[in-house]
Amino acid sequence: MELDEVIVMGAAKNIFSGIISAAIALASYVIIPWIGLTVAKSLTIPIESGFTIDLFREKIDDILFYIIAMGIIQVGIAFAKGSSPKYSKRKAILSLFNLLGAASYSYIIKFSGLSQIPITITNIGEVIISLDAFVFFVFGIVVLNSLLAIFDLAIAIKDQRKKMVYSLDKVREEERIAAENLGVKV
Amino acid sequence: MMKNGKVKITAIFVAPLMFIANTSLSLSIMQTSNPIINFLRPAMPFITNFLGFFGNLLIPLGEFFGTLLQGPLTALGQAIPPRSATGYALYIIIFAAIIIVALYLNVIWRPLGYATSDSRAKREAKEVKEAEREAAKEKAKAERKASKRKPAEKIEATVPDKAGSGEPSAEKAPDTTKESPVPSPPIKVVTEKDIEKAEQVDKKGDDGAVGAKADEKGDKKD
Repeated sequence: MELDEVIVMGAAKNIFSGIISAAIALASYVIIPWIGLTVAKSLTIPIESGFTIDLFREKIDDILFYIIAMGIIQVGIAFAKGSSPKYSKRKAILSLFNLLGAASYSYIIKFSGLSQIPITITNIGEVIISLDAFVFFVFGIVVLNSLLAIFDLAIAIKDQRKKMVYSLDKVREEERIAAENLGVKV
Repeated sequence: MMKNGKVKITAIFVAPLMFIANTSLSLSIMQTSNPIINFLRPAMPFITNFLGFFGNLLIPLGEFFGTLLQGPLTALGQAIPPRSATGYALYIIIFAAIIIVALYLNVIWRPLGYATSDSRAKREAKEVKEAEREAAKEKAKAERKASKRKPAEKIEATVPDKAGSGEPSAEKAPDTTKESPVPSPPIKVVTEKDIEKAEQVDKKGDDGAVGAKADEKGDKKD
């Protein structure tokens, strides 16, 4: 296989895995929350049912804006992370950034009022469904994943130092320089 | 001994009863028409305990992390420009910048990535094996060619001249440049007497056969 062909194959593989990661992030950070909030915004409950849900409808547009804004950045980071090659330090660093983005995203959900849903039931009173525990649960997952990402970064650095992992690009570059020194056109 | 026996009896009789009671309780609490929930219903207590374990582990961790990051995240929240100021333009610019940098890093700078030394050793061993296999194939091919050529050479050796022409074939032509190991016989000078003798023999025999015989005799004499 020619050198150019190998490079094109490697680049195509990276881009493909990056697109897959970006698509997953787009669905989970932008599309699903957007659909959920849009449905909640236009939700109408019949009066006969006996209860009403107060969803801070006037705030939903602002929350939606922040969620989509943070989601777009998360999609970009997910693409960068997904397209990074395996065993690279870059991938582990981008994982940390991705987790920081996820923490900010959860923070927006928690402090924008979305984690508290008040429900007014006729003749009974008001009940508030609190999703704070769920948000803290997500924070907990972010912490665990952050620890794993730091561990991953440490392993990547150690493997590269101990030559257990080597860069194929560097090898190709060395081969090209050697071939040029011998007068062979690559 | 008695104590052990009592424990065994408790384990055998009480535990299954407790399990059945627990399951029946959960069944009585959850009455749905959803087939998936009906299918999962007996396993619900275990799933609840399992999730509860993770909840007990993760929620305090999340609370700790949340309080730790509350300051920086509040600052970040305040730093994010509101919707009215720029709209999505700023975020789209950041997104495009991240994508461009990622493309540069993964397509132009380092597109091939990394490999482990183990995989390198495996690949090299594979390459060596393939080279050996190729060499063996080439050798077998050459041997087959040589074995095909041998009978053809034998046939050519039996027919020294080319068919139709009186000249010897180019392949079998003697190499004059090389010195032959056997010394060549001394050259005889043909005298007039020899020519006369040969003419007389030709005159005696009418047909070619006799002439040929005479020629042979003459050759032998020579």
